[in-house]
Amino acid sequence: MQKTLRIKNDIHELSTMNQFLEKAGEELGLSTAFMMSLNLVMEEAVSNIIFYAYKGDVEDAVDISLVREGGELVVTLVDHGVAFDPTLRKDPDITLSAEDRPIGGLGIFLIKKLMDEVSYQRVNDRNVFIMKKKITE
Amino acid sequence: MEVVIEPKGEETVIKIEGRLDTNTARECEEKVLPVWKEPGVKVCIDCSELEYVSSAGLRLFLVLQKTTTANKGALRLVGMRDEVRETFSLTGFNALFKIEDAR
Repeated sequence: MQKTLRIKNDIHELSTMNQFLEKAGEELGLSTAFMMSLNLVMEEAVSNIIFYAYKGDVEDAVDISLVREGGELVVTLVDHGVAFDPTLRKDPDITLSAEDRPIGGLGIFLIKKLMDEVSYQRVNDRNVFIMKKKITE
Repeated sequence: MEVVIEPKGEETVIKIEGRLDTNTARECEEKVLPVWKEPGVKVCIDCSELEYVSSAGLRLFLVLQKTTTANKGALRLVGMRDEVRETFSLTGFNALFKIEDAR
């Protein structure tokens, strides 16, 4: 079973996405705890695309797909904005004090922490970002 | 997201309810920052009704901690739910704040 959603590069689309996730989560039989993590990684990944991928307004900004494959949830995000590989982003130093911690740079780190596997490919001028997480009941 | 600010003794209690995310963190920042105008202010953030924090919410907490230090004040977070605590732990934010179980 595959669940898909296409959104514009408008930050208010995050609410549309959350409704989609809630419904998809129920249909795919995902637990509340799993949904919490999924919600978080999706907000981080999709808001990055909405904020940084495009110059003007784009109707087909992000294509979201969720598939339950065996014991895993596979999330694929496709956009046709500027090339960006999130997996290359350096992890923040989480041992620094509050004074020394820079503001920001935590979104992609959270995605890497919460998902089991993330991968990136540039295919036909599109960014394809795939995130996988094992489903634990 | 709702914010309730009330003085309690020598502390100002800020209760943040609901979701601190990309859509709400900026609005919350505008509502709470005036509390730090007074030097040496002691603030308690009641997180018992805070359901969700994304990196935009973490960013706000870090801004508040830095502002507290600059202002020579005090900041403690109380009643944090497990889901939010996990996000703090994953990013090392649990070490940056004084986090207490209850008021």
